[in-house]
Amino acid sequence: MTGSRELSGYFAKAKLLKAAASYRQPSTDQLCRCRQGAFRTSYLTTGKSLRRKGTVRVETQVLIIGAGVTGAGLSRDLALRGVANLVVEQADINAGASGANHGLLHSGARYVSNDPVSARQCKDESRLLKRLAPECIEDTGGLFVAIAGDDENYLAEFPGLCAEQGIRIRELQPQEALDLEPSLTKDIIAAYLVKDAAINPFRLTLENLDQAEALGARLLRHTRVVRFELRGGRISRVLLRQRGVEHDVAVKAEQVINATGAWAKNIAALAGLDLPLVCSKGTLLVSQPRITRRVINRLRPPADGDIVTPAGTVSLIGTTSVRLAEPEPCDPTINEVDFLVSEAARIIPSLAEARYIRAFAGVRPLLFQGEAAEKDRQLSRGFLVLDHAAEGVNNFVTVTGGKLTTFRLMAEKTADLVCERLGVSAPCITKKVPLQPRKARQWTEAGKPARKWLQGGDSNDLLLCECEMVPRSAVDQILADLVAQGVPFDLSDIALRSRVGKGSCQGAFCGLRLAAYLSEKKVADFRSTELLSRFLEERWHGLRPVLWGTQLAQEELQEALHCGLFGLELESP
Amino acid sequence: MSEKYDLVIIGGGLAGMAAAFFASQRKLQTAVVASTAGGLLFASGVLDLLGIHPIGEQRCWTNPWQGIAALRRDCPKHPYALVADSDLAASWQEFLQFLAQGGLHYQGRTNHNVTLITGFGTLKTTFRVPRTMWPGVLGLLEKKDALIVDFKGMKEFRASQIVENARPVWPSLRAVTLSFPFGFPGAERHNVAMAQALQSPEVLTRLASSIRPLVGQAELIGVPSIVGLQRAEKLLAELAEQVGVPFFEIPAMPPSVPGLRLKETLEGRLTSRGVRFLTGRRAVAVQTRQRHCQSVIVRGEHYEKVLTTRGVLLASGRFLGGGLRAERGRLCEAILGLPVYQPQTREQWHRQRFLDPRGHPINQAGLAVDRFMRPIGCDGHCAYENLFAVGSLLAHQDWMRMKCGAGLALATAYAAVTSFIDSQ
Repeated sequence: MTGSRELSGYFAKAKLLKAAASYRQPSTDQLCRCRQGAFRTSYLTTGKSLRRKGTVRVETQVLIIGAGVTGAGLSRDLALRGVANLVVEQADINAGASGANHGLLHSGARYVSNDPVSARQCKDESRLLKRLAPECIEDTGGLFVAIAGDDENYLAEFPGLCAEQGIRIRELQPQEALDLEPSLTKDIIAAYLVKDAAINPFRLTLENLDQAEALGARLLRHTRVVRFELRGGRISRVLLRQRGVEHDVAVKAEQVINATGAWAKNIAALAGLDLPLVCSKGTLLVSQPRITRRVINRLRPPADGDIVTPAGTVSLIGTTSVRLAEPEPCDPTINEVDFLVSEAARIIPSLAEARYIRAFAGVRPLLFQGEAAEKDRQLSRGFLVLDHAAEGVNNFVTVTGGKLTTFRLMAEKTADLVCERLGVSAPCITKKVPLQPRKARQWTEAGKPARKWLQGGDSNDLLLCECEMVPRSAVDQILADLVAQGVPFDLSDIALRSRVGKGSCQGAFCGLRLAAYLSEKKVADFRSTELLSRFLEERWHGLRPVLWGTQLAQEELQEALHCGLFGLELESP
Repeated sequence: MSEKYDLVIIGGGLAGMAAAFFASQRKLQTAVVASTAGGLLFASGVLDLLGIHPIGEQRCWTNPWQGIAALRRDCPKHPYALVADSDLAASWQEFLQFLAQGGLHYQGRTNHNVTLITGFGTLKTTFRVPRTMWPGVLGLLEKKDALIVDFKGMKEFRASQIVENARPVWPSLRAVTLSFPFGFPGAERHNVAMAQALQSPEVLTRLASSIRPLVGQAELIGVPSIVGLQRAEKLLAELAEQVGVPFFEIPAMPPSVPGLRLKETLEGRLTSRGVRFLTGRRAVAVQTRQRHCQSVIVRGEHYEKVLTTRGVLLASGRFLGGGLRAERGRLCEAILGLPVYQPQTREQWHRQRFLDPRGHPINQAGLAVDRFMRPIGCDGHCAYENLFAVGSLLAHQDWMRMKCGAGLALATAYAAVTSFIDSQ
């Protein structure tokens, strides 16, 4: 536990339980187990002790593989039921689709035609999340707009389909839509207001994990599952390896959950299982500044390049859908970017000339449903909880598919199954217990640091990132957590928990300042030349496809400094 | 309103400034149009000739002239291949002499490159360094005991980081952080403001007395390159005298004070020679007739001017400078729409890794010129008889990876001005 944590152990539990007024007090047994934490060993309480040689043995009730939003939701759900759990993540939180999406809290309207189950789930879950995690959500509202040439049959069916699923929409005259969103094209032929919203997936995952950790769950980042040991129809041990650490970790868990999204197939394969999963890459673009107030959907059957979501100070434009054989590598390409620009410009003409500061891509795990669905767009966005007992592995469950909007429901259904197996009778309370906002998490929000600064920021607090105005104090808060976790970290770990590197300089200046700051504080796990190079390369994947216009000039400055002056491309002495 | 010149230079970076100097030296009526503060704000202050070739192999040259000979063999289109060694040498000699007369002395080893540490703690190979940085070059050679000083509130220049990164090559470095000896509002300390403050003898003395007790075994003291906007050499000598050991400056991130010194010295001395500077103005078009440039249209806010001229010299830089413009699929020359040598598709502009030592193909894009430094038009001949292009705008070079930026600016400016005069 870090010193800065607002909640800790037992008191946190009490506070949360109070919030769930209608919830029955758990048994003493459950509470004790929870307080004991994820581990039955004292290991990990002092971060740096991780770096011992040999194998460290750990026991926990449930091992969750994957710290995307589903894994985080599961950890919290289980912890709230008094179930000790450990989350392992090969990279960092939201490394897959959870961190590379529109940040769109779906009203459900997008799926009414081809995926009514997902539509209804989205409708219910988005309503819940607005109440339970308001700090993660900007309730922008959304618009569906059709333009001349769009499928008129679909237009005609849309209101009825929404009504069938109980999704409330309101028809607007084209001019009304233009008054609300002046950047829309004048070619609108139909428009509907819906209850879409923007959600910050990073804050959401971090706060789920915060609450779980306050209840004793633990997270191991940069930790890869190397091997399952199977014995008597069960996973008897799971072997893990951490970045920069010489020893292995062997986990003995009663239940193992595979919540690895697009990697679920690979993890299941470690247990000798084959999952019917398809990887579908989606590319998005980040424009600066923000173009619209609301979420804008093209009113047509879901297709590529038809959503523009606001995210604080920027807009996110997407997506594409391209089948991949493996979840990695998954970089946005120039063709995808060009396609998105021209497609999105059809609903918002100014997007043709906007400044794009970055592109990114994520992989959706889609459930393969036979040959019937020819296109990945037709595959369900629904989720699946797979009990592998049927295939002879009795303590192994996979949860995959689904959407950011439905993560809580996915966690609930999976935890229900696991708890039944564990003999835990405590019901799910995540429908009632709100997330606990933490100050350190506000730095994930675009525009928030700048607003704080303008509202009288501390002038003694140096801005380490000037584009997004992230002060040193924010970095200190984030560092406190990272240092306490004891896993070697680099600049990307800090960037994931803040807006550092996400502004127009894309790391050219803030990367150097952060590396300098870590070196000054002597908390760096890597040499600062390496820290900076790694960060610049990480940013590069998303920068390369949007290099034209102003962003190319920005890149030239970056190269003149880092290569021309510092010679970072040369072998360091 | 119309003004008449022999030569109008578009661009106020090193190449434009050098061209203005060579032109004024040859008694040409010269104007410089610079839309921004100019590339010199970003210039570290050290002057490269040739450091690395071939870049893919990361071969570093101690003798840049040998490197240039190899470069001309391997890359016959590199702008260095258009300039004779004698002209290259002459351009440096004239230019450095001019700077020295203005109080900016540059040092180096005859015909050899030198190495210094950067504000990040990495090594940089270059040809000539300001005198304020020279003791650092010698200190590194002899691995002297040195103290690196930074100031609280400087965000990009951290002594501890320099010491850490330079340790393998210069182990006897020690870091110390001081409060800057002059109070500014807020916690941030900016290069230019600090440089200005150090012009005051009082502040300088305060700095000396805060360093003095920390010297210990140090034979040398390294500071960020912020010691004065003017008379930096004097100020450093003053510090050295007060503290008792030599000081040297370490090139830091922009805004660069040594770059500003170059800019102010050049602008000041050239103005007094009659060169006209139109800063904050943009050259929006060049009026031409057949293969001849006649005038340059210059625009500012509420302002437009036509400069009639006998010759135009483009030193407008690349994307940051505004000489080149990148549309989504195509690179264009910004003012005259001249043909730009470039990779075929955007996919080929950049490599998959930012720090790929081979450099990005887009860096080799630019204007191709004939042997008189005149941009080549669509028909393969010079686009205009009296239009010249110099500096980073030129194709077939990657100054950032080859470490040849200053040399490129000087050589091509020299060659272009010479060609212009010969053609008159």
